[in-house]
Amino acid sequence: MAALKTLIVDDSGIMRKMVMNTLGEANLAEFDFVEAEDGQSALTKLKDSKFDLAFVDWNMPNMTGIDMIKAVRKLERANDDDPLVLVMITSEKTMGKMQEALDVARADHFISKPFTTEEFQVKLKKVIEKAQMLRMRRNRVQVQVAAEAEPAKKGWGWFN
Amino acid sequence: MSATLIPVSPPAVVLAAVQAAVEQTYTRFCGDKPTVESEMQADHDCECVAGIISFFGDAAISLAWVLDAAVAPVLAQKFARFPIPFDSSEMGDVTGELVNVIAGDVVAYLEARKFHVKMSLPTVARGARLRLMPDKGVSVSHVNYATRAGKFWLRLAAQVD
Repeated sequence: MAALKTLIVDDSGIMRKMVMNTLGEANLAEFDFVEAEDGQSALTKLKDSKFDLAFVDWNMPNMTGIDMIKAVRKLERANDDDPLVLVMITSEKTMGKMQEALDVARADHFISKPFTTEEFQVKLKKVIEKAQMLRMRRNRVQVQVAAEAEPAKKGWGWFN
Repeated sequence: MSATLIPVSPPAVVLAAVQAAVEQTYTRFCGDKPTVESEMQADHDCECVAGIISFFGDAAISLAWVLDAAVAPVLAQKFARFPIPFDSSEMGDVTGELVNVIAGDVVAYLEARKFHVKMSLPTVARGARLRLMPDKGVSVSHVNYATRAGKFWLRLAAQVD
């Protein structure tokens, strides 16, 4: 399985490093990491390139994580795109914040800081499987589109 | 017409929440339970780093968690799981994250007791003989701790309008 292209969004460089280290230690998949230091920068990176997974902090300058997730979901609805798998990693711990992230913004999962490798192994297994499944589906669609485009090219050849 | 600011002591529930969060977090990472040395403002004649964060809502409160140069690298390494020297730029970053985690615990603790506050982004100060000066009319509480690794202090400043 190819590495999952994963965006780590946090204004703290230490926390980005901790999330990447812990994901590596959890050994749930291979990851190809890209970092962003706020929601605005993350949105730009998401528009420029296709990602499988994103880990997003809540409280950040310029654009908060919750606003970024809402913007991503809005774009997905507008473009009829497959959903990006989004995990919120935050020091927020109240039920209200958890509900806002999961039910209102539609994040896939919510993890409170501080976290452990064991927590990642248990809590992220299904989320990572979902990211892998969506990636395989996207790859299949790309192959199918390419295969359908090939005969069409040949077909046009009759008229050339 | 400007509002008159009335100085008040930080509400007891907030002080209890902060102390519980800091003590649990320290013990979780470093193993030993910090002991309260005094609740007086002390002149800390040492190098230290302070994580500062504010709460606003039912009360306006500023929390500073001040770690001396002996305890800060120990706690930072246990939290981040890699070494972070006291005089590195990463020390400021990790201290901000530590006070941010504490603030999350405090907000949840208070929410469960129907006391609603939100937290700000953290800021960090580092220096020798660090003394934070409150605005006029702001009431300040201190708690000084000793641990096996070194010392740390809590400073809570509160005002209501």
